[in-house]
Amino acid sequence: MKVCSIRMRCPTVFLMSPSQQMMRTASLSALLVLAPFAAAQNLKFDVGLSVEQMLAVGLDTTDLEQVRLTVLPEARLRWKRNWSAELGLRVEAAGSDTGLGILSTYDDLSQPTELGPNARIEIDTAVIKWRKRASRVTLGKQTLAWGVLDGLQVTDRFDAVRRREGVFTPNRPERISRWGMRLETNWADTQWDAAVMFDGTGDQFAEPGDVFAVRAPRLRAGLPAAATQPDLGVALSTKATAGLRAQRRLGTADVSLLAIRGPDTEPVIVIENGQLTLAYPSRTLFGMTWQRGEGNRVWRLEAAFIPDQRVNLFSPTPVTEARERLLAGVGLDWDLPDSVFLNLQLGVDSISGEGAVRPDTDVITTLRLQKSFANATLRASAEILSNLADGDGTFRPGLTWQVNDALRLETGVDLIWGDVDGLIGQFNGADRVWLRATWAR
Amino acid sequence: MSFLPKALVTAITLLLSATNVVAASLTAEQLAGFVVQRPPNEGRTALMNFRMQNKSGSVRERQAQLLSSTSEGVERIAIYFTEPAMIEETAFLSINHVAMEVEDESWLYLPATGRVRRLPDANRGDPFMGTDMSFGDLQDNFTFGLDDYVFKLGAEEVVDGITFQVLEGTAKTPEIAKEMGYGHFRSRIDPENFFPILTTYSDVDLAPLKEVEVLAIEQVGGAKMAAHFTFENLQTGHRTEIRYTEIKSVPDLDESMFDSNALSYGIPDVP
Repeated sequence: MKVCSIRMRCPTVFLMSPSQQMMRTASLSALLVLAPFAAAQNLKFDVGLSVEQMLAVGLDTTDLEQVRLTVLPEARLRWKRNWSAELGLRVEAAGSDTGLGILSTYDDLSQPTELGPNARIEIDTAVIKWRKRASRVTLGKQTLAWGVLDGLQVTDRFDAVRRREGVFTPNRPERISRWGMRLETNWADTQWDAAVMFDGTGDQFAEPGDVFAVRAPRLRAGLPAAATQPDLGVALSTKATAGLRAQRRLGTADVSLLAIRGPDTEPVIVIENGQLTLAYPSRTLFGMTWQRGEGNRVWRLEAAFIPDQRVNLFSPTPVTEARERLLAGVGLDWDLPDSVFLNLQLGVDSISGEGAVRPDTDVITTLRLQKSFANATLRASAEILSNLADGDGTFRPGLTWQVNDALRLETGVDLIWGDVDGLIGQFNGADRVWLRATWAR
Repeated sequence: MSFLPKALVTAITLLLSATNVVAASLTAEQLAGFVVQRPPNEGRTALMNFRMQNKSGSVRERQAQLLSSTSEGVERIAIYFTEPAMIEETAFLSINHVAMEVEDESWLYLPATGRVRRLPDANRGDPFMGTDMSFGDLQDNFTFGLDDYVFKLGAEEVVDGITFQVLEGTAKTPEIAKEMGYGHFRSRIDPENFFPILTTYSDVDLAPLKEVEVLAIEQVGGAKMAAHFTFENLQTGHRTEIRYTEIKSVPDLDESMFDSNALSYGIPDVP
């Protein structure tokens, strides 16, 4: 376990464990050695570049609340039929109250390098892949998306997530890649997916004082929203996260069973060495997914059981207790006439016992409606997310214009309601209108 | 679509190729049947080059790797987009069963989500990936559903000295018309290979909607395929041109190439 302040990058005194060092060294060495070898073999090599500019203005303050530039260069190599390698970087700069998020929840293995107070560079992808027919081995820094619902994380709990903008991102969850290895194969008419990540990176949050900084008591061990957040330490786990998923066709449905064991990416707050500290205790998740097509509809279902979910309890000083946690979600995709698409989801997240700082049961609903026009060069969408338990939510209408093959413009409004104690309501007052330009070659 | 034994279809096709006179003596239903029963695709790969142009002349281009096969009453199509960068690595898989009682499947891999997603069956009239081709057009592969239309023969047309049969079809019911997006079609049929080489579709209100022209046909293995064609929306002026290059016949493409889970792996290495 390493401990450092939430406000700063972890000092290098917290060294990697031997297994972590070995993993990162092996991956980077393999990339460095194999890339020139592949290039010498005159094999397939291509590069890409994507640039995204995000601007947001607060509706309540009329202040420029977000200015962020993201540059995503990537390179891919493919050789000897079955082998390939990818390297993708994320270079970000921000100049506003919506910053780039804290760095202390990153494992040393994955720590972005700061280029200045508001700029940093991070390895998004660094993998070597081997594939043959329906089998694939991936070694390096990668993400792992399990589950069938959209943004409702029932079984999709392997990856750490960027939460520096709450839920107000184009894709949810916005995953943070981690170092590890993954094997996917098909055996006995079943798709097997096994992964181990030797990287303790946890969810990333906004810097204290930023627009989307966490304020809800349920996420601060019961500390009232109006109270100033004391400086928090971060104690990442050095334990690996392992998972196994088996997926197969049952009748006309696709069904999967999965298990994940490792440090939770959602922290609890504990006192360690006399300091309030974000901690990432290990937990086990057993889950299942089911999805079935039925004409112009697809039904999706997920359920998960965590027998040892640590939660903060109401107490003068932070105390945690292991509880049973049950999550379930159902979703419907419906392709309506005239190219109208509807996505409707309902999720329930329940913990056993009493006295936790979070509600016993959260009931989350999402509704998304979208329609394309003009040969899919224009798309209008509207999304409502709400937590019925907290009585809060957000309404997010938006418009996307694919200007040409390289340029896409998006604009929208995020309207937020609810009490500051709620998961979404804690951002009440951060209503904004935004514009995002994406250029890719 | 029903499948005659391959040898029988080949024999019939050869026979008819030799004597176009026979085509001229077919009834409308027989002609539509021969269009449907062209020899099936045994397995092929190709590079798809899309060129989409709107009324004002603005052009968008796409490139994708296509894998397709038809066997045992199942048509499989996998499309891996390679250009432009904005949609690179996006992959689409369609598995269509001839048997009506078996649910068709569509899957989409979007790199931004990292997940292969099952799609609801699109309404057949919905446009495919922003082109002027509908999902129904993609599945029908230059045929006309025998259960969808009431057929009749139009007046023969002579172009460049060749006599073409003209096949017309009217949707059997308003519901079918709404589902397909087409209420009527009129098509010039090539007597040598039974390809509809120039087809005009009308919408459910019978207003001209779309013109589909096959510009080149190639022999790939035991079957012919449209290698260059255009779809033009007559109501919006938007036009999609699709040209196949690097076409290869790959009989018996391995089923693992059409595994939805493998869409995220990228373009498979075809032998």
